[in-house]
Amino acid sequence: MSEEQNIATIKKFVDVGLNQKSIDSILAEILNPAIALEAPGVPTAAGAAAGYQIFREAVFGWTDAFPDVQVDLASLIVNGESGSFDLPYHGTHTKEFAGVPPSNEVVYGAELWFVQFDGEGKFLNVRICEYGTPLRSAMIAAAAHGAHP
Amino acid sequence: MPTPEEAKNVIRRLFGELLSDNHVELIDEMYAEDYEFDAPALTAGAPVLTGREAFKARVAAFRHAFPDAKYTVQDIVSDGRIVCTRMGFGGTHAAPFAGFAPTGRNSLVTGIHYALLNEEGKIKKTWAGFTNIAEALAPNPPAEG
Repeated sequence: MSEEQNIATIKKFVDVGLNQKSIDSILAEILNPAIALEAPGVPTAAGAAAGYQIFREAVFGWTDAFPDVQVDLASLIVNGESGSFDLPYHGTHTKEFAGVPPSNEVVYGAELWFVQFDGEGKFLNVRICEYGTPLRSAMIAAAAHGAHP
Repeated sequence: MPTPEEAKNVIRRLFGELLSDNHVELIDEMYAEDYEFDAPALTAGAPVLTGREAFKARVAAFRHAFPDAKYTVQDIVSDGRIVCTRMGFGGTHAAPFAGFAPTGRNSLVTGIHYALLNEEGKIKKTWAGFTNIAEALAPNPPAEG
């Protein structure tokens, strides 16, 4: 696939999958069924997990706990079959997440994503890392004294 | 502005010659004077360091904690201004670091590193995160399974 198509896939994932909370409508279109996900808290010993369902649950768990979450693409760079984006976000913490009870406060966070595409332009390997204040710490701080960007 | 390939080579040199081979003196050559380092945080209140000397001190502290640390560039993309690196490092946690007592374990930590270069191709700002740093620094090894 071309770089332009891979960029379009990332934008679609962010716009439709995250901001519109409609990940199920685009799963088959954007994810390779054997997708591997590496992210903090992914429940495997190695911190890496494979498969559609784990990716879906990771996204769902987050958007379910922060139903009004909005993300921005602070930067997006794709070279060939690899791409990366910087994803600041904010949303109201309304359900328990990562063991932290809801505060109903707006929480701010940011993630770096690195995606490797398969030959059909679908996500094959995804690595996600938080930067700045970790989400769990931000949730606890928001519950204690309100959120600050 | 550097080309994307030139920018990638700056960061390959950072992880190879500077960090893995411990040529800290290259910081003066490769980093802008007003360099800003948004350090990966393990708790609230992520530290932001400014300037080459502060970064040298951070590198020295890390090298003391992980004296055999080696970095790997697993994948890299750039537009010439920002370089995004899928990276990892392995090393023995031999001395205290960021409030964590040494475990004596050799851990492989994976992450993503971002660098913003200035017009001269010097590193002006970096920010990064890891997938498994908490597990690597924890007193007990992660459970299998």
